[in-house]
Amino acid sequence: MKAAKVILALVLAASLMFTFTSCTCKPGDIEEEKVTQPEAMSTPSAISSTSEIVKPTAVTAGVIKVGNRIVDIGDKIYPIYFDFDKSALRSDSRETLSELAQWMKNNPSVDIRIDGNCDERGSNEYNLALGETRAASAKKYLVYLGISPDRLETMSYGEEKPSCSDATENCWSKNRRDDFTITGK
Amino acid sequence: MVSIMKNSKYLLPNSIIATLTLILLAVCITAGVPARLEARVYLELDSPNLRRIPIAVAPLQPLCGSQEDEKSALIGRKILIDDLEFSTFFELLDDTSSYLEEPKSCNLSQGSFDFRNWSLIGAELLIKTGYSLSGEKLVVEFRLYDTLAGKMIVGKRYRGRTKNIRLLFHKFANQVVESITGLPGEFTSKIAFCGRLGDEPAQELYSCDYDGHERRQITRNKSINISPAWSQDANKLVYTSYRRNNPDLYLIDFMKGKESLLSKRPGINAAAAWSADDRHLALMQRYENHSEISIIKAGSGETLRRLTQSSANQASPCWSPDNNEIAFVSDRSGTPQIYITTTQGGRWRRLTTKESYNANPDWPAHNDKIVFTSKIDGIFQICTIKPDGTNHHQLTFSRTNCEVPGWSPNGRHIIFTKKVNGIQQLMVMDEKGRNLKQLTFDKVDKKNPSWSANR
Repeated sequence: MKAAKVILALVLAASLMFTFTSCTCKPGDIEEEKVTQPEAMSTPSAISSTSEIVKPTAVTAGVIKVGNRIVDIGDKIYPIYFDFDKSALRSDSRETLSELAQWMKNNPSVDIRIDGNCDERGSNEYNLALGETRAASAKKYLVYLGISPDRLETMSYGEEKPSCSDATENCWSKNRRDDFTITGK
Repeated sequence: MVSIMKNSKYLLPNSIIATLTLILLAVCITAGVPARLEARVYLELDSPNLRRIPIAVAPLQPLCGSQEDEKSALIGRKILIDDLEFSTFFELLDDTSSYLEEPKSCNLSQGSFDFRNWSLIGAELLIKTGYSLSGEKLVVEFRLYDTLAGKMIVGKRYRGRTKNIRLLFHKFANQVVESITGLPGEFTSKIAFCGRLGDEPAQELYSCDYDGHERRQITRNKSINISPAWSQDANKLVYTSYRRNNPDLYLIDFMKGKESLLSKRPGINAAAAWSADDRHLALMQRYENHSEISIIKAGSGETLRRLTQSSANQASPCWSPDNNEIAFVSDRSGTPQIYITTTQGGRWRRLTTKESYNANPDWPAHNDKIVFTSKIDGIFQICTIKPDGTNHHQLTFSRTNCEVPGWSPNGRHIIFTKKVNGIQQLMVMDEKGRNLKQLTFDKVDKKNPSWSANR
């Protein structure tokens, strides 16, 4: 009996530990949801945030499998990220934009708005300008890939729409981004 | 122009009506010779050894025939003392236990007391204040005396309501500073700023007095609102809001109590700055997929001219006090630096050469020092520089970023933001970087302060 109790305790402790570590050491799942929260607030969609947890690496929107259901996540396309104080596209961003361009070609009725964002460091007015050029970089590349500029609108939020607010490089790197929103179908 | 809001919404804190009422009712007390004619200079502001003048503030007394109200008397005296202390011009002798005079008389006028009681404890200036309170109605009479010459410098009587007690005492403090230095005081000015609580998506505009009191919320549109800027006459405020899904420029006219959409060019319409005559605004606008500075008419929003032509980004314009030049930020050299151009555009010169990131210039009306932020050893610090590039001084030596500096209306103080315990707060210091004071202490993150002239 005593042994059984000890085992039960151990199992409980282990399961607790698992829960705990899965929260702290793997921030990917939970944090990922937080990152896109402000976006979800402007266009509230419970489905889109669920699907992000299920498939955090998804790059473009459209139709996605959530559990056994096929859901149209509609207006959510994953952001691309930038280096500090830079508006040049990174190679991973180019890949993302290539997929996006292909998806836009397959969905010719869709228009997109690109929102440039910055981390909190530096002058917020200068960051407004930097957000403009970050959005413009993505637009320029999508046009280069054959998308009509008429389908691409750009806007800068500067540092005013952070996706997370900690003063850490991890957080800053998530804020230096272009968000993509579908504006017309 | 589109009128969006109804009148009453935008009447500011201590509404202008109250201010005007006070101004109209402020009566010059005509005892003795008007001080202006004497033209005695009490403080030579340009002197390198500027000393603080010892001043005593007598405990407030009920005017003859009035009831005592201890609470109002204490509040009023504290406001006056805090204002004079803040100005950095005075040495406050505010320990009333060292005062020789028994404050019994309801009479404030010359002859009713002995100046030697004040000069003996070292006071060169003396403020005597009397009040009467009936219901909500408050009357306060002030007299500023020169105890060495034995004469009154300035006397005023104000009528108002108890809810405007702060404004009333601030008004006389302005008089004291102006009489002694020739410069206007800063005590009826307002500070506008953006505030956001935690991770809330909305960032609204607020205003408060120069000392952080009397906070009011200006916008309630639940969108992101940024870069407020007061007109020189402090009757208007422009700011940028994302509420139409584009960063457009709006103008609030507090006198008319209405708001209009001033500039809605696709892309940013932000960081607007008023010309010295309030007729024009310089702002950031998108041209060819990047940010340039252009000038629009403040009345109609009509574009006057594009000021900068560059493939780089430009930001944060501000006007010289003579209206002939505009300082702005540009990364045309590869890093953000401050440049100066004429208001006609064309010729430009680079102002900052030290450090790789200089931003947020502000050019004051009353001195020739541009204040800005400079990234020094990885941290943004507040610096000043003369428009010719000389006299570069670092004012803060902080371990956290000091950002978005702005001058007070008389150019004697600088406001900026700094993170304190994780919250972005409003800070103020004098023009030399001394007398640092934290203005706000709550949990709202504050950004982009803009300091108005006296209202």
